[in-house]
Amino acid sequence: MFAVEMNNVSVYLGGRQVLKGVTLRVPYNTVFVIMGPSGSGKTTLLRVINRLIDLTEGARVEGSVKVLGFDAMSYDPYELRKLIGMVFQVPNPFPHLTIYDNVAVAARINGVAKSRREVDEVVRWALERAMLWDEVEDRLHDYPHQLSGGQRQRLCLARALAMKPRLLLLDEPTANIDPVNARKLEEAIVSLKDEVTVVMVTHFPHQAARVADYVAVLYDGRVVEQGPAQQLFLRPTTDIAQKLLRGEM
Amino acid sequence: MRSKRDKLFLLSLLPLSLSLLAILIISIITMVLKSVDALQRFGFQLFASSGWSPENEAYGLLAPIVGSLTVSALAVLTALIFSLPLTIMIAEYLQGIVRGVVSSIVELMGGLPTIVYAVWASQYLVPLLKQFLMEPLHSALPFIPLFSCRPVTGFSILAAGISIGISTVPYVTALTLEAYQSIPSIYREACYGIGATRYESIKIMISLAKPAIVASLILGFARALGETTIAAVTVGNSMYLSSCLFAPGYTVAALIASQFADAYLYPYAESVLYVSILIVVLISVALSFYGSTTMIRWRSRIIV
Ligand SMILES: Nc1ncnc2c1ncn2[C@@H]1O[C@H](COP(=O)(O)OP(=O)(O)OP(=O)(O)O)[C@@H](O)[C@H]1O
Ligand SMILES: [Mg+2]
Repeated sequence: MFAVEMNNVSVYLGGRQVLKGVTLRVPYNTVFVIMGPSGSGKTTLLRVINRLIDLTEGARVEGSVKVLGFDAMSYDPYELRKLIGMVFQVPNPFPHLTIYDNVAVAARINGVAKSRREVDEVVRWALERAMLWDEVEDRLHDYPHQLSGGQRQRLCLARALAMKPRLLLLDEPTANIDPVNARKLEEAIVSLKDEVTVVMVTHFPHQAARVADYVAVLYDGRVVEQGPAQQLFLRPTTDIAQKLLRGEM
Repeated sequence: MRSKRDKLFLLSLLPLSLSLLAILIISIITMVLKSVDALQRFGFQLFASSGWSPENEAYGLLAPIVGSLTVSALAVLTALIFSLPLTIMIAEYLQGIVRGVVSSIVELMGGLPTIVYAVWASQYLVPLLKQFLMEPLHSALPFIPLFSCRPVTGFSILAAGISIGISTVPYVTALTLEAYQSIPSIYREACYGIGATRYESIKIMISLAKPAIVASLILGFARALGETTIAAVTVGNSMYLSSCLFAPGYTVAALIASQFADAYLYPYAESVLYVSILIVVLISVALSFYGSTTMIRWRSRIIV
């Protein structure tokens, strides 16, 4: 059994084939890292898993996708998304909601917490797990634009965690933030493994080396290599993976 | 660095834009100058009383000013009732050809001359409102001051408010729709990403757009204030100030439309009318300014 199981998945966006027969398996309670050059289809792959791809007009998906044991293609997408948290490439906390409400809204929508006290608890728990609590504890009613970029991204992680998801999709969560904040986020990610399965996209080989249990290398819509992280980092078999891991791509 | 040609181009645009501003300023100055006579003669009394009998030099602008504000408030309320669902429909539910058709119809309605609305309102809408809105409200809730009078002809503050409201629907819808659609898609994805249903997502998006929707309504209010033809035909033209929405009233614009032609016959009539225009223009300009800046601030806040 796998948390995510893709078989021969192809995606067409506006007539262009963006994913070309992707097959991959994400074991439960691991950090699965997807690497690949810009435009190789990493974001698209994540969007297939939680079916956000449905929002893109003219998108077509072929192949089979199993997520947490459900057939993602035929399962109700709204129900599916309740099981899956996502942190996007661009930090997107709701600008009109306070820090507190940004997290609380995710808990409420998913029925994770109902009473005021329950919500308080979940918000605190999520912010702690996202390594943000100490910095915002006494300013929960500030707005996201008063936060730094890295704090905003961690707020988005907290929002995703407040759903109590079983699967977490992270799309270059540290792309726009400084190394210190990035390290904090990495720590948070690794510490989450016991409770959730993490699929994470990153550009940084060192980051991948620090957090990954498994790695898949995506190139031009194809998985060119995948396997346990140690094995892949020690002996990358393809030219592309070698370049990518050396940071030359 | 701007190239020299860029600067020249910019410079060539300046006179036109400045002249537009100049026209606004000059017309306000003209209004002020024309208003001075009446203001000196009647002073604050002008705004504290109602009545219009030039033969006796008795002028009071209270009724039309209050009327204008009430009518515009009702208009904005009416516009909101139509514009918000239209915005959600067009932006979220309709697709392809249907969406194109609906938005073109809304646009087309915005291009109609207001006399069309005026005629339609006086012939069809006002009688309907009288029968199906005013009379039921009056018999059900006569103790509420706003509904306390029996509608006689139907031509009233309420009729003008709703008629003008309908005519401003295309304008307000265009503004709210533009605001709604300018919300970056990352927020829509955030909604669905946290497991929201479509309905929940729309709720979040609307609350995100709230400042822009309020700004649209403020701009709609400013536009409704200046609406003349529809007001003149539906408001009932009465200088009597009533707390009841079903009673005939006046708006400043309607007052000017009906009185301006004869105003030169009386010593102060014209000047009093200028005072009333000045008031409406100042309110309009202030609201438009406030509405536009609110919109701009909102936009800069949500764009990442
Ligand atoms: N809506 C769309 N319509 C057509 N093509 C698209 C669309 N969205 C993405 N693409 C294309 O699909 C390909 C994969 O995009 P994707 O966003 O998945 O790449 P990525 O690996 O996440 O890149 P990056 O590292 O830059 O984020 C790109 O070539 C992109 O141009
Ligand atoms: Mg991407």
